[in-house]
Amino acid sequence: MNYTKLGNFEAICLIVVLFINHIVLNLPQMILDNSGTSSILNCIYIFILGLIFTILIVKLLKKFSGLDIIDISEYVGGKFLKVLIGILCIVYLIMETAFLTRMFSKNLLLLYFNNYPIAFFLFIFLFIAVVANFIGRKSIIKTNTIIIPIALISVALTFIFVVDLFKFEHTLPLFANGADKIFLYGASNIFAFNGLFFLFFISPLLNKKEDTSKVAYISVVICGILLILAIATLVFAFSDIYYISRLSPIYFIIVNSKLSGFLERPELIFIFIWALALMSFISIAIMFCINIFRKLTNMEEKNSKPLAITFSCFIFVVALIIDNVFELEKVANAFYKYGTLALVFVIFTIILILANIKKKKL
Amino acid sequence: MKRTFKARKIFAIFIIVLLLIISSSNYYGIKGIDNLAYVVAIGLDVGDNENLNLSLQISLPNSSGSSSNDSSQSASVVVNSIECPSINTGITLFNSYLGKEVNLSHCKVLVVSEELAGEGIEEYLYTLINDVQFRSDSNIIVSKCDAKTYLEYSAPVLDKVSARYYEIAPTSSEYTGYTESITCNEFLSAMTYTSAEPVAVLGSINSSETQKLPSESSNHDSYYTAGQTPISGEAGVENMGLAVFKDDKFVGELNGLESICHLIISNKLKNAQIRIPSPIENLDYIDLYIETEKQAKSSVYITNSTPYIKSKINVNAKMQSMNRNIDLNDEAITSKIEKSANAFLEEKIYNYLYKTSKELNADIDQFGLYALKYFYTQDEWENYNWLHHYKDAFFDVEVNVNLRSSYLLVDTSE
Repeated sequence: MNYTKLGNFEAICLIVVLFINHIVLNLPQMILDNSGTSSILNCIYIFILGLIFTILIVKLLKKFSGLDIIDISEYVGGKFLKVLIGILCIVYLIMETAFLTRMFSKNLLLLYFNNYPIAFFLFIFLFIAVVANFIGRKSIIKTNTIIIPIALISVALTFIFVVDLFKFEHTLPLFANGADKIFLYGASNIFAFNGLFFLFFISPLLNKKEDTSKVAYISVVICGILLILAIATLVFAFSDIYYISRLSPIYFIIVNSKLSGFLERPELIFIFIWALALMSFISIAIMFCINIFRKLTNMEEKNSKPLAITFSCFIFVVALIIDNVFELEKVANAFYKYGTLALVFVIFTIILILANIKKKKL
Repeated sequence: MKRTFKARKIFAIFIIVLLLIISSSNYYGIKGIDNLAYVVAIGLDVGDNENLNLSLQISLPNSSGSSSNDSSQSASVVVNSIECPSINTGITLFNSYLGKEVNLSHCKVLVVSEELAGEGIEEYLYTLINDVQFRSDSNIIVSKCDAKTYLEYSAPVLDKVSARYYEIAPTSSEYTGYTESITCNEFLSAMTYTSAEPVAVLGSINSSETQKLPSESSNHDSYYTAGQTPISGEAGVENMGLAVFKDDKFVGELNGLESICHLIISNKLKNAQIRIPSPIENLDYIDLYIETEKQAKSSVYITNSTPYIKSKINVNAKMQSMNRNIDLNDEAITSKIEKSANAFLEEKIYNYLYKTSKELNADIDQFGLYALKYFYTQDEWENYNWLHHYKDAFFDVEVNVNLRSSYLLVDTSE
């Protein structure tokens, strides 16, 4: 199958894009809700778990260089498993994209465009993604490599803006809601590294297949550092305040930072950058949906472009299925967490382990 | 090939047309300055018939560009008030009355009357923070007079634009220390903390009727609270001192000097001026311009559930007062001044701390944060209930004033 080849940097940006979109929305809130003042401890813990998981996956993938999870599924369970995993991946990407787009659009409407219908914003975001997919994969990947570093810097900058508010006592009591909430239940926060989903697809796309491990480690370290930085900013600077801020904690930091002292609306610059990151992610998600679908149906590349419209229609519909925002947040958060844990951290890992066992037996 | 090119052309035209339609569309009603009434300050009072008396100080369009004799309050802003059951219903009634939509996105200050603050302001604060237009970095002021009167008198004497006046006015605390710039967000944070209580700026109108000298105020300008300063001039508002809250209820006030003590203890003091009894001849009192040298170091120890709080404070001072026959090169003299300043500040800080503890029972200096290390979980901490035990706290304060310099005169001995 003909793929657009990726350099290491492009591949890292591809893995980080999903993480970035989560961190500017509600990922910090989900971790803070669970761990309170001990969130930094929890982040360090899940960072270590994330690294261990990545080492494991890289080891398991070593024997299947040049194959993605769909190919490996076929190797393990034949056509049936290939189709099943393929459909699961497409459903995962559609739901992930739909919820992210809906949540971001909801926040945009709430803050700046009160009288506009949400469908209008969803349409704009999806329309751009469809156009990007029609133009070509290379442009999507190249654009992503420009946007992601800017988005990463924007998140890292928030740390600097509120450094004067830092009080290290805000991290106390050390175990907040109890050690079990950090190390037992808190382990489920490893879903924060959901960008690893793309790691299972990246091997055949890389220019140098032997660099898969390098790409994986660098991506996880970037995500881990940024996650710790974002959570540390919130905990050091604001402590209990996050309990009442339900929008985006990173947005909350910017609004309340010193930056607003000399810029009237500094958050607008950041929202613009994050909107670009979201557009980039939607384009990538649709691109991967098409790729997976092509693999399942052996479709030729020249016929696959209109599929972008089909998948964006699915995303549009799923995004609008739940009307009630409270309900939407509950469902979306549950999906982000348990959907990622089930698919990326359990199903994919089991398939890889089975594939390795099968290879060993042969 | 030709067909692909044609399809791309049609596609490009479609995008351009779509963008043009969207950008020129007025269907959802883009609101401009003519459709909106920009609020620069919100006032909340207890209503006579309803729960609330909501006052809005609304900026008049184009007032910033008006002629020079338009600098009075009436030229740039208008104050309207309404009796209403809640803030939102009040704003809706204003919308219908003004014929323009009230917009809070330029609101710089929230003024709450002392009476309403005493009843509790939690509901109003949460309601405003819940409003997308309201900026949580707006200052919060507790007015000793009606909030409406405060807004009516808040004429920016040296500024033409009210919004700018409200932005600049709180920064005076950076060089006086007589109050603190408190934003609604900071207030709300402190209110939700289990280790601290909030404070707000204390404000009032200043006129000859309000100027009552407190008994201990002779020779000490910093003993005044808002509205008491004996200033003669155009009647205006005055922010001086701090309003102390227990949870969301106003429980007491701090004067200018107590505010300086609060800023020193909580490491927020930039600069301030204090007047100490003079240990040297030729001067009865000495004015010192102070700044904190390094952060005040506070430690909390808990013995038998009783907090014991230790604070070590280092202050740099510059001598402002001067007279004939004073030689600041003489170490004996500087040492005497330092000792006097130490004793003065120690006494005032002790008084301030015991006032917050015994009288007001409000930990506004966030000492609770230093006690957190003794508790491993949130449940342990909440069961201990720091804010309840703060009234039993006892203090140990050590002040070290370092007289570093004077200004232009150092030795005036003959």
